[in-house]
Amino acid sequence: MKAVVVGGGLAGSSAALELASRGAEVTLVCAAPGATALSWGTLDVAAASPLRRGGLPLRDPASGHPLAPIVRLHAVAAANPAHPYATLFRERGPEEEVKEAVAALDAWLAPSGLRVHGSLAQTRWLADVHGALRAADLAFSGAGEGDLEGAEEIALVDVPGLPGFEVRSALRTLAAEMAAVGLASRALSIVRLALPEALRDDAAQPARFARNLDADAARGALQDAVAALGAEGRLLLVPPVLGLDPAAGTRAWFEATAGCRAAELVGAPALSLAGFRLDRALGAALSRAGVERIAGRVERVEIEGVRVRGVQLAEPGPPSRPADTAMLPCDALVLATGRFVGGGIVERGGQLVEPLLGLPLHDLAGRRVDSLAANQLVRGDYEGEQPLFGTGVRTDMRLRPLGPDGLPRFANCFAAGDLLGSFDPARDRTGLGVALLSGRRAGIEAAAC
Amino acid sequence: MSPCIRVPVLVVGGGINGAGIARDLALRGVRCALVERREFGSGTSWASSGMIHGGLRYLQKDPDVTLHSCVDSGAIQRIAPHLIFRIPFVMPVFPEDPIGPELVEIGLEMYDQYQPFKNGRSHTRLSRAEALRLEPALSPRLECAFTLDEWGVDAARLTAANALDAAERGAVVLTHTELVEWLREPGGGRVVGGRMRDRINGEEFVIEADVCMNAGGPWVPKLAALAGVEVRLRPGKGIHLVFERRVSNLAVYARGVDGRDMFTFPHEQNSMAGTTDDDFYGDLDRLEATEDEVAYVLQAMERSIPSIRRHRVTHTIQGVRPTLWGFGKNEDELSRDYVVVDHARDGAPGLFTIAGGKLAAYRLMAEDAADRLCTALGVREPGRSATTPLPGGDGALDVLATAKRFRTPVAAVVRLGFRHGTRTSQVLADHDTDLPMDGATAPRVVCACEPVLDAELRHVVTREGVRRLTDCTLRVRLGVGACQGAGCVGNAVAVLADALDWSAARCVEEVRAFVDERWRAVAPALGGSHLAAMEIHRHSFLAGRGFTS
Amino acid sequence: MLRGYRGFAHEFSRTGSLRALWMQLRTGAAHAARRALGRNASGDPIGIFLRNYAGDGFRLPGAEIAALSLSAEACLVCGLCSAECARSGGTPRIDPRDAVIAAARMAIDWVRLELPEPIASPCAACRACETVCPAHIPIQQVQEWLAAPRS
Repeated sequence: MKAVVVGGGLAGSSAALELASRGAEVTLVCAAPGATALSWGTLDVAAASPLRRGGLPLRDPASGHPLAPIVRLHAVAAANPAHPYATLFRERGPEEEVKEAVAALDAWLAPSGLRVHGSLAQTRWLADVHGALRAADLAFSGAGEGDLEGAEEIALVDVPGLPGFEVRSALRTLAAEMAAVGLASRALSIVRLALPEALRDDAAQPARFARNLDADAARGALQDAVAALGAEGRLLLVPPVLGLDPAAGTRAWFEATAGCRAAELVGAPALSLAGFRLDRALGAALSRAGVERIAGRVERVEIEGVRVRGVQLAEPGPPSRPADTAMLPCDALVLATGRFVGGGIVERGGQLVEPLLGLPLHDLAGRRVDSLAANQLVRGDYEGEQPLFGTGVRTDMRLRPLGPDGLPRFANCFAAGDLLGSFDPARDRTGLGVALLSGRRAGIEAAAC
Repeated sequence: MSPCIRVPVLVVGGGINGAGIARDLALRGVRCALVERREFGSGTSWASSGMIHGGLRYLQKDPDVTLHSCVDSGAIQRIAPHLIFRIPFVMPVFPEDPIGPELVEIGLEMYDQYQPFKNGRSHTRLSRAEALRLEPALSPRLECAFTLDEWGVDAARLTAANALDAAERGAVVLTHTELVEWLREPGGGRVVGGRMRDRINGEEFVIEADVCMNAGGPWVPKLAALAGVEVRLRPGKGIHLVFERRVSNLAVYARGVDGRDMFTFPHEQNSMAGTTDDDFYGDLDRLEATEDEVAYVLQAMERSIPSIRRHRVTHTIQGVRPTLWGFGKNEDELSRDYVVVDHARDGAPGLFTIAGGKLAAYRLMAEDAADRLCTALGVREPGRSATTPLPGGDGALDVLATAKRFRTPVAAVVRLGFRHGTRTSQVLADHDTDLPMDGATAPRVVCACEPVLDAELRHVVTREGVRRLTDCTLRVRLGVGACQGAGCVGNAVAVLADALDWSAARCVEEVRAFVDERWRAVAPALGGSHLAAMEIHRHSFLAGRGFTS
Repeated sequence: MLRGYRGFAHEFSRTGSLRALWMQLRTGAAHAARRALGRNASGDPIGIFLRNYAGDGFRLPGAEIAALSLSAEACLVCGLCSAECARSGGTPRIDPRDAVIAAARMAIDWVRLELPEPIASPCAACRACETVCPAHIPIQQVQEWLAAPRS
C-alpha cells in the first residue's frame, strides 16, 4: 500500500517509520523544518513543572511521593478530555505504548549517534543555559547525560565570547532553584575554558563553533584546555555547542578529555542546536528505512467521496506559481503539518484555516474557531489559557480528523502532532510526547486502513 | 524621621516635559529633583509618533504654532543630531478626496516657507507615474502626489537624554519613584514638596522644595487632585501599529474612514502606522490597543497602500495624550496648545502644572515653564537649552573607526550611534570587565533583532540609572523586533542581574513583568506571519525558562 | 483644472486667523498665477528626491527589492539557517540570520555610510540555508542584495 505523510518533524517521521516497518511504500513530503527542529533536547511526554504556576507537579500532593511520568500523563488526559492523550488512551492504557514508542525512537536515532536518556519510572533534573531547572523524564544525547543527581560537584563552563550564556547569572539561578527542589547539597562553581587565539573569533557564532569541535583540528587545539576543566566527581555543564553532528561524538570526546562527567545545558531559542540535530537524525532514519523524502509542499489533495486518492505537490516556498506536477497517488494520508510554525494552521484573510483540506479547527475548549481571527482568540493572561495556542483539528479515536458534522471527514486520512487540537504544548509540556505517540499511532492506523 | 532631600524645585513626572524642564533648570544652575513613577517617557512620550514635525495642519488655524514648531525642531536638531533622522513624506491625492491637489499644493507652498527653520526640504509635485515610481506600493488610483519633508526622533531616548543631562548637571533624578502626597505648610497652604515612595524597594522619603511642578502628562489631574486642585484634561488615547521592518521608504499619508489624517512611516528599524485619537476613560496603567483600533488603522492604510495587510505587524504602541479640556469638539479638533498654571489662584501656592502640548514643542514648553519657575524663585538666568547639546549630541560619530576599535559589527555601532551619539565609545568600553582584557573579547550580541550588545545593557544600568528590565524596552529597544524578546530576554536579564546583583527570584519577577508588557502590546494585533514567532515565544517562556511560582 | 481647487470653500471657512488668511491668499494667488502661466515648480521630482535624500540612504525602490523585503518579514529568528550554513562549512561575510533580520536597515545604513565596498562573494551561494528556513526566505538573494555595489 502507498502512504503519503505530510510533515517531517517527530510526528510525521514517526508515522512514516511505523508505516515503513509495516511494509507500506511511504513518501514523506516536507516543506521545511518546524517545531521539532526548534526543540531543545528534552523529550517531554508529560513533564513536570513544579516551579511554575499551573505546571504539572513533581510529587503527589497527598502522599508526597514522586509521581511517575505515566501518572502525570494520566492526569493530563483526565484534566482535559479533548487532549490528544485522552483520545489516544481512552481504550487502552498508555504504559505499554509509551515504553514501546520510546524504545522505537531510540532504535531509529541510535545509528546517527543520538540516544534517548532517562526513564519513565523517574524524573531527572537537568539545567538549562539560564540556570533554570528542567524536570526531564527523557532527553536526547547532549543534554541527556546531564542528570544533576549523582554529581558531587557541578561546574558551569564559561566559554569566553560565546553569546547567549551569562554564566554568573546562570550560577545564581541554578543555586536558587536547586535549593528550592532539595538538591542543594552539591557544590557549584564556574570554570573558564581557555580558548586558544585561533578559536576565539568563532565563539561569537555558536553554530560555527559547534561544527569546529566536530573536527580534529579544533579538538587538538583544545585538548589541554578541556583537560584542565576536569575534577573527580565533577559534572561539567557546557553551553549546548558540543558539536553539530551527534555521530562525531564531541560530547563523549569532551567527557573523556576532561576525565569527568560532561553534558550540555538544555538550550533556549537563541542557543539550541539540539532540535537541529534531532531533525537531521530523523531524516537519516527515514532514509535508512527506505522512506522516499521529497522537499516540497502539498498543493492540492485529490478526493473521491470519503477517500483521499492522492496529493499534488509543488516546490517548497510560499504558494506563488501554479503547480504543474503529476499527482502522487496514495492509499492513506497522514497530516503532521504542525501548528503555526509548521504551517499546518495559518491565518488568511483574517481567518484561521487549515490550508490543505479546510478541516474545521477547534480551540483549547473545543469550540469551533476556523472562521475567527487570531486576535479574537487571545486572552490577557500570558501564562494562562490561550485558546489560540491550543487550536487544531479534532479527531476520532483512530486519529481521523473530523468534518463539520462531527464524523471523520475521510476514511483514510489521519492527523498527528501539533496539528491536533485542544492541547497547548508550551503550557502543558507535552509537545514532543504527543508528536511521538500520535505519530506512531497514526502510522499504525494508516497501515491498517 | 524619613530621609530628606532639599531642592529649590521638585518636578513630578519624567516624560518629555518633566525631563525637559529639569534639564532647562539644571542648565541655569537651578538644582532640582525629577521623580518619575516608572521609566522616562513611559507614559505618553514614548508612544508618540516620534516625529518633531512642523505642524503643517496648524497653518490654517494659527501659523504661529507652525512657526514655533519649526524653529524648535531646528533647535532639537542642533542639540541632539544623533537622535533624529529624516522622514520624507508622500501625500497621494485621490479623485474622491474632498480637497483638490491645487489646494494641497498651496498649503505645502506655505509650509515650504517654514522648512528652512528646520533644515527641511521643499515639497515637490509628482505625477501619477512619478509617484508610483517613487513608491510602488501606493494605490494606483491616485491622481497625483506631493512629497514633504519631516524629521523623526526616538522620543524615549530624547526624554532620557534630557533627564540624564539634568542628572549630570547636578539634578537629583529618580525613576520608579512615585509621589505619595504633597507636603503642605501647616495651615494647609503652600505646597512645599512631596513624600515619595521608591516602588522597587518600598522606601519612603521626603523631598522639600520651594516650588513644585506637576508634569505628569495624563496623570496631571490625579496629581493635582492630591493637592486639592482641579485640572481638567480630555485625555485622548492614540495607538500605532508597528511592522516588523520598513514597508515603505517614505511616509505615506492615508485618510481614515472618518476623514482623519494618518500615516504609515518608517521609524528606526520599522514602519509604524497610526494614529488614533479617542477620548479615554480607562486605566492609564494598563493600556492596551483594541481590535477595533487595529482594524481602523489598517482599513485607513489600505486605501493608500493596498498591500498593507500582507505585511507583518509585530505589536502596538499605545499612549494617552494630555490634551487640554474643550467641550463639544471632536478629539482631533481639540487644541494642541499647552498651559502652565500657577495654582496660587487655586489655594495651592508653590504648585505649578504643565499640561497639553506636543512632543515637537517640548523644548519651548520646558523653557516657558522654567521661566515661570525661575521668576517664582527670583532667579534671573536665561535658558540655554536651545544651544547646549544633549549628551552624545556634541559632534558626529566615526562609525567605522569605532567598530574597528572595539571589534564590533558595524551594524551594531550604527544603532548605538542613533541612541548614544558621540558617547558610543564609552558604551562599548563598558563590556564585561570580568572577562580577560586582552582585546580579543568583544561585546556580545544579546538581542539579534536590534542588535543590542551586552555592553550597552551594562552601560545603561551603571551609567544611565536603569533599574528594571522593562526600562530596557524604551532605553535600548530590547525585545521590540521580530522575536519580541523570545531569543534575548533570558540573556538580557542575566546581564542586568550581574550588574545589579539581582536574586534568581527577582530575575523571574523582572522577566514576568517584561513578558506581560510585551503580550499586552502583541495580542491585539496578533495574526498572519507573526503567529509562528509568538508560538516560539510562548514555548520559550513557558516550556523553557519556567517562571517560579 | 478647477477640480484641483475643490474644497476651497470648506478650507477657507476653517481659516483661523487673519494672518493665516493673508498667507493663504498671497500664496494661493502666486500659485494660481504660476499654474496659469504653465510653470511647474518641480522640474524633475525624482531627480530632486534622489539628490535630497541619497545622503540619508534612500534609494529608488525596485519591485524585486520590495518583494524580497516582504518575504524576509516572516523571519522567526530561529537560527536554523546559521546552523545549516555552519554544517555545510560556509563562511559567509554576514551570518544568514543577521542578514535577514537587518537587511532593510543595513542596506539603508550602508548606503548612508558608503560601505561596504562591493563584496566579491558574500557567501558561497550554496543555498543550504534556504533548505532549512521554516519561513521560506530566499536568504541567498538577501545576501546578494546586501553585497551589491552601491549606486
